[in-house]
Amino acid sequence: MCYYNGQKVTREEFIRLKHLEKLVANYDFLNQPVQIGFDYNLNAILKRYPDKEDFDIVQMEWGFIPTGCKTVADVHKWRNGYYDSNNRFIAPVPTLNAQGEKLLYPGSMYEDAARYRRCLVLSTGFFESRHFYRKNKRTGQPVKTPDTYPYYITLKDREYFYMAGIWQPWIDQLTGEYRETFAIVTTNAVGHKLMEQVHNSKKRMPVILNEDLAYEWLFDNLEDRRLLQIAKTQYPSAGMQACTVAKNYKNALEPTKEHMYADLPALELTVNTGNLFSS
Amino acid sequence: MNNNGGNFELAYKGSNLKVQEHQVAGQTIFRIVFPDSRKPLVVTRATRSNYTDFWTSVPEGRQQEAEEIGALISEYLTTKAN
Repeated sequence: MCYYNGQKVTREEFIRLKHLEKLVANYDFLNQPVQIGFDYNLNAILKRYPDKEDFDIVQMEWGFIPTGCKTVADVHKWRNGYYDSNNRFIAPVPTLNAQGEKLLYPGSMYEDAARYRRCLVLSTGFFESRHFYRKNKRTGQPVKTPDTYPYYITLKDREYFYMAGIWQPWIDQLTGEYRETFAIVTTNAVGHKLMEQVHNSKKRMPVILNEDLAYEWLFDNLEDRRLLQIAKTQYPSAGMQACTVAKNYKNALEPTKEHMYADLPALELTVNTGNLFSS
Repeated sequence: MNNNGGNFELAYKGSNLKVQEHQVAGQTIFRIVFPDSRKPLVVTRATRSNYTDFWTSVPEGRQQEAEEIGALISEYLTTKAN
């Protein structure tokens, strides 16, 4: 006989529960319905083993910490901004996303990671906001402040998918604490039928990779040209879908549940038959 | 891991817990998210060697919480079924 949590169980039941433990340990953290970047949560990341065509699924903190940050206090300042000795506010530097086009710019904080520490971010879907300017009932002109409508974007027929990421090891010089952090690589959404309409203010989108590109991103020694080419990938809009969700989705019990808005015009996703191969 | 869409809330010791039902390799588990800083808890039904059932945490170590919250889940599911 064996014991599990102090309860006497058969060997068969013990093995079943131990097996379940491993499954849960591997997948529990994948099931985070809402990852809000500014919470700097842990996310599931595919990280390559050094010199091996194999990877581990690990947890990393979303929010790339640059090498210039020596302590947790520095990280806090970097992420939240601070007042300098002249009482001047130094704005925070967001590092949740890294622009794919600029990864290898001279002096880019992401350059080293883009060359040597690429990873894949596991995702079930992501949220973006669409801004819509209602027309003023009196003047007929668009109002100055847009209404914001959140969307949940997923891939059709795919439970999980991969986003291109880059990661960075970091050690607190004061305490020796070790962390691994990452940024999601993003690209221009201009010309993308779905994302250009959904994320219509910034017109950016995460770099979502199919299996072939994901493999290449994770394992291959990429030349600069190819690296930037992949980092600018727009996943075809035909393979993506989006639905509006509640405006308070971050605190909702089911944040990804569809929520319709009567006053929001539908996205225009009709296929132009003369241009089938564009995104 | 598939979410069965069985998401619900339970009142427990003065706070609201978010509960998600999942199938992992054909086995039903419940993932409980606390409103405070406690780590999420995963519970499932298991069978003792005398063939009686009990709620257990996965992994081991949070048996009391598993039993207390598991009982609430049983009550919720039974009520829902009726």
